[in-house]
Amino acid sequence: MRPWQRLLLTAGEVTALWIIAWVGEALVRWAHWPVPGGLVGAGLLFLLLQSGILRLAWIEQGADWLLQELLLFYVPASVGIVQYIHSLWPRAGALLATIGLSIAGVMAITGGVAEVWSVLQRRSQTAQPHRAATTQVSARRPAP
Amino acid sequence: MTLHLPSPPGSWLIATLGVYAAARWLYRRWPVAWLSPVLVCTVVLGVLLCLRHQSYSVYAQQTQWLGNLLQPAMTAFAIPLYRQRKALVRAAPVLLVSLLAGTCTAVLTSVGLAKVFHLGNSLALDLAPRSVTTPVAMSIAQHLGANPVLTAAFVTLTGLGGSVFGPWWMRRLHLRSPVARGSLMGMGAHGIGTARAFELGHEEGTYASLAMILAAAIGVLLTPPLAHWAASRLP
Repeated sequence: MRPWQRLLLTAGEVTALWIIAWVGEALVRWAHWPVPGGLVGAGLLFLLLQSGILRLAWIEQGADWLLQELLLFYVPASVGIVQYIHSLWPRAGALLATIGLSIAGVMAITGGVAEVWSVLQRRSQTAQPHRAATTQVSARRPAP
Repeated sequence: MTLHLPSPPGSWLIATLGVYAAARWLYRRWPVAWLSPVLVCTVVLGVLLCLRHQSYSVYAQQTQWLGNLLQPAMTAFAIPLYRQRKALVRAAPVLLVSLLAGTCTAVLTSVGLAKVFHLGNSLALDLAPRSVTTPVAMSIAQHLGANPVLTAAFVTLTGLGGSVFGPWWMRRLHLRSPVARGSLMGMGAHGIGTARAFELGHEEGTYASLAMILAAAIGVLLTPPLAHWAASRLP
């Protein structure tokens, strides 16, 4: 495939994803759900793939591009901080402490619960060795 | 003074794309956390806006469609979910339990700590949805009656802070399993953390994307009642 063909294909697939997200948005507006349209679009796309109506190969180039450049799409919203820098400056220390401590807590709880759960699961599986294969994810890697 | 000339239409969009391309190149060259493209872009473009005495509304208007791409990008997350559907089915129980715990911690500590530091009820509500990805957090903020733009700023700070701090914190906590390391990044630092998790490993990245999407869905349901409860009940 030539570069311009690849570009056109990616652009077409991104447009298709945009349409699915837009259908999600329309659904959300109609049903008054408190969810963003893109998330409902993800659910729709998953169902379309699962049911075989849409093939992975038809959409994955565009999706991979969007996810590769994901950080770019956050830039406009994050530049918005400039509007509030003056009013938030006196409380910057307290805000950063709140956010920092909260991140540490969230990460410790989430990671801790998942770690304890998977250690317990591994133990119960070593007790039943014939089920051990189910813990591995498709991409295997050597144990640390 | 050239600095006060009005910017031609589209110039901020081109500036954003240019700065992003440079920041991405820089990050490939020196992959250290504080050179994260979002951080570099935010600082460089923020300084540019201030130097040119340009208001954010002009910038926001010109770069609108870039932010709009977050919607199809969220839809695109169905692709890694679908590719890893077997891992998703297997990990569903552990992810659900850890993300429920994580979401409750995120909302309660945000509101609680905001009260401890005397930030006031309205900032507490702006902070409550900060652990989920930007577009979802902004729509949660709307339903909460909070300020979506401030929420977006806190979400970005969370993502940046979490993606810098997360890998160090998981080593300190001795987390070994990819599902724990991935869900830590996806729950704690949403999209920016997920991008960082893929640098730690393929499995970590996969679990982080699963965690980020599921956390967004759980956050939509749990954040409004939890935040209002915490705002009215916590001392």
